[in-house]
Amino acid sequence: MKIPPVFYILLIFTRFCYGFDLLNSSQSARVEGIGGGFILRDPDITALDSSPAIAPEIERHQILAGYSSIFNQRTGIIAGYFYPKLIKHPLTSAGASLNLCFDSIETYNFTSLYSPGEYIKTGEADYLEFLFNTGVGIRTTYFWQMGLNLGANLKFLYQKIDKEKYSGAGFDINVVLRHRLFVCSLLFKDIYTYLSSKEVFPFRIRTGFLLKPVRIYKELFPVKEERPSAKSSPPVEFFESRINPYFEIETVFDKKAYVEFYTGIEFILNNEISLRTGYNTHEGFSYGAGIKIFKFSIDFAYTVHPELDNSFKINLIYFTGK
Amino acid sequence: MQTIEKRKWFLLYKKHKNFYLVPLVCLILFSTVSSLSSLSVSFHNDVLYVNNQPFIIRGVCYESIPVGETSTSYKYEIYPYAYENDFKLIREMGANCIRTYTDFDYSDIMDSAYKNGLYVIMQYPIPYNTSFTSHTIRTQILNGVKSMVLKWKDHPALLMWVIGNEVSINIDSSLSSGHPTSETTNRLKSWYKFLNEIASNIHVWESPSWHPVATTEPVQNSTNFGLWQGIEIIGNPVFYADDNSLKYLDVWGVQTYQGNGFTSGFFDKYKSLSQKPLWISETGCDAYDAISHQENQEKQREYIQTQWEQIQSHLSINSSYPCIGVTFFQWADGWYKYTYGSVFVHDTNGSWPNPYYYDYSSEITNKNMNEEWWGLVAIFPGTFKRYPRSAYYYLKSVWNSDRADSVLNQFLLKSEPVALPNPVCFSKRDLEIYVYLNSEAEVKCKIFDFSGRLIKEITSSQVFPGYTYLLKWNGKDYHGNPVKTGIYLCKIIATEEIDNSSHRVEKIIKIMVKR
Repeated sequence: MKIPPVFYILLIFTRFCYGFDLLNSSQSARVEGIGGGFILRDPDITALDSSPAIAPEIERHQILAGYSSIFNQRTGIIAGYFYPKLIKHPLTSAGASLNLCFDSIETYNFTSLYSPGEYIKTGEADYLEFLFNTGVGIRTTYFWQMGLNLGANLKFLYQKIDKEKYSGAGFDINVVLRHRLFVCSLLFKDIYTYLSSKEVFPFRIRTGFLLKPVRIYKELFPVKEERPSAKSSPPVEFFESRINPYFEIETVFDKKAYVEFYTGIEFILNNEISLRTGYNTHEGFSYGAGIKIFKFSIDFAYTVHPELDNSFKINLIYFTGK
Repeated sequence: MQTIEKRKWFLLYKKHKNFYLVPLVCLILFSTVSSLSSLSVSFHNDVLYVNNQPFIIRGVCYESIPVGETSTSYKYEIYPYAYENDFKLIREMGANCIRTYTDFDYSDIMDSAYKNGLYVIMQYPIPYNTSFTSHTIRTQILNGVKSMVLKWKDHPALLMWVIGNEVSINIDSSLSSGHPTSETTNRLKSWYKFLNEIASNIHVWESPSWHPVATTEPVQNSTNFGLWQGIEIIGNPVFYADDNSLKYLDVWGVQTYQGNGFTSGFFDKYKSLSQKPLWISETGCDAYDAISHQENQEKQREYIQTQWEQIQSHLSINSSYPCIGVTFFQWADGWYKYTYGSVFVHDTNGSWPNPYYYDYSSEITNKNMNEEWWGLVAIFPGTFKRYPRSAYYYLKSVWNSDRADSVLNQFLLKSEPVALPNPVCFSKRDLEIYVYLNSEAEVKCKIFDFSGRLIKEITSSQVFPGYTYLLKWNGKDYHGNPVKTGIYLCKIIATEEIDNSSHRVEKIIKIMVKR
């Protein structure tokens, strides 16, 4: 029996993820460590669902495994695989991910509507979420020191809540402008995302920029040619391309719109060790660290929520192929 | 040849040059996690604070030796099921900590205690008749304590250190019956001086913050504290046991068997002797009636009830006395304890006389303290199953819903809050959250989604008799948008005002929202 190619795509690009909420897909430990930012200079498999325009930048096969604990209320594991350059063109890429989340609660109901506070335990209710994410991306060659990436996600949703089952779909569009001094990103998220429960998810616009401060500094204060041995050069070289501050704004267009902010910074030492910290308006401060060693990348993130218990995530990515 | 060797090493180095990063990152991750997990313990006005929340020690002296074994032969690590089952039962009883008689040398038991919500008061045992003037012995003990401290100081289950068990009476057993000789006085002096040195070192080893250091002092009953009853040691400058000499000792543990309650004036007497917090490190009653020669669970329960009620009324958190709690002696029977008996027989012989217990009779054996019958739970051969006695059930009832505990954050709650109905369908009705308290408090609830986003904050809208608070939520967020289907976290915060200070309890429950 000939197995349809779509089966392979589903198999290869499946990413299981336990410990997130519907449409607030699980961020990688790296993203979590910098405060939830989706502008990634060093793209990996975990960028796919949050920033599909990054997909063309991913050049190597990747295997992902991870563990997470969310507010000490949910724990779980992450596993996945990414296959780059699906369309066999160096400037294009496609991929897909499947997010899975399950949870349960103890259920209670009133004993009598006339006796306030009297209740009985009626059992347990299960909760299940699937988010199947297909992402496509294309990038241009550099022009005027710039490159442009375009990406889109097509999402299929499935939700089982207690005994009711819902399904739905939605899509995102993502544009990333890459310049040697900065990166800008614009994400139109949940453009039309709904569930069969007639629940429409709010449309979001998220925009932000990432700076390369040392390069900007060198651009503004260039070292003169006749002084190649200038003492100021080595420290600047040391920091070049290794400090990545970013800032993002997300506007949520629900019945009443509101705005959320994300900011953070990443310091990469020797292209091997990363130290990160960040802040966003709903989760508070987060901290992270990562290391690349041989063909592995290990990332750890710790989020200090001001009200709930703390969360942490650990990801391990194995890069296969050349 | 040498060049080839060098080249080989160079290539090996080049190939594995990144290896240094592995321990480095592991170290960073380990230090981050460990610094975040260690417990904060402090005192303020004689009240014990754990993680900045007031805390009453409500525990048991934990020794759980199966039939046929002794405290020296039995290794807890061989039967993790046994201590896990114990901890579960202890926690169900409402206790919040255990006191050990030795330093554990494996971490699973500590992890298990923490997992079951129990803190550990860890003891470093001091051998009987130790000469504290010997430099070698002192160094040996200091090294042992240091090893224990460095091993466990960052464990989140660790609550307090205890140095020695009834060391003073083991220096000279004649202490309990008369005034000490000059030789005994000198030995006591060297012990308390050394104790201060140990405590001082622990503070340094744990610097900048440390777990409290305690010792345990045997105190006997008396209607007149003018007689030598052990308590005279506490705060006594003659033995270097006064607060100034023992300035690094944080807590006095008192082991006392004064019968059905404490002697009138006991807490006042202690208060006059020392300013340090008082922990009743041992008290209780055995479950064997030495007169009728049968098990008497009811008398054990009655004595423990009286003891707890009196301790409760002298707690530093709600009185002017410095008591921070109790660890009842003890968790399980020990069939090995009677020195002249068999480890396979539940001996009914008494080990020492105590006239303040109901079964004392000078006509019979004069020894009514039945060492093998002190357990809150009984044990039997061939099984790790525990058989709780009446005293266990008494403590379970009182420690799980005690009014006196309501002054503590974690016991302000009478029972777990509940959201009704759960799952909730907001198109049909609002969610009602009921919070059952033991006293009047300000109650509010914060609702979060699983991204950590604060959705809504609500305050109590109604109070029913018996301090039952009702909070209602209509399923809309701050912006008036209806929330989506899914699971939300509901953090309930109750704040109680007592004597110009506020105590707060927090509970998180999950709410399922359906369409």
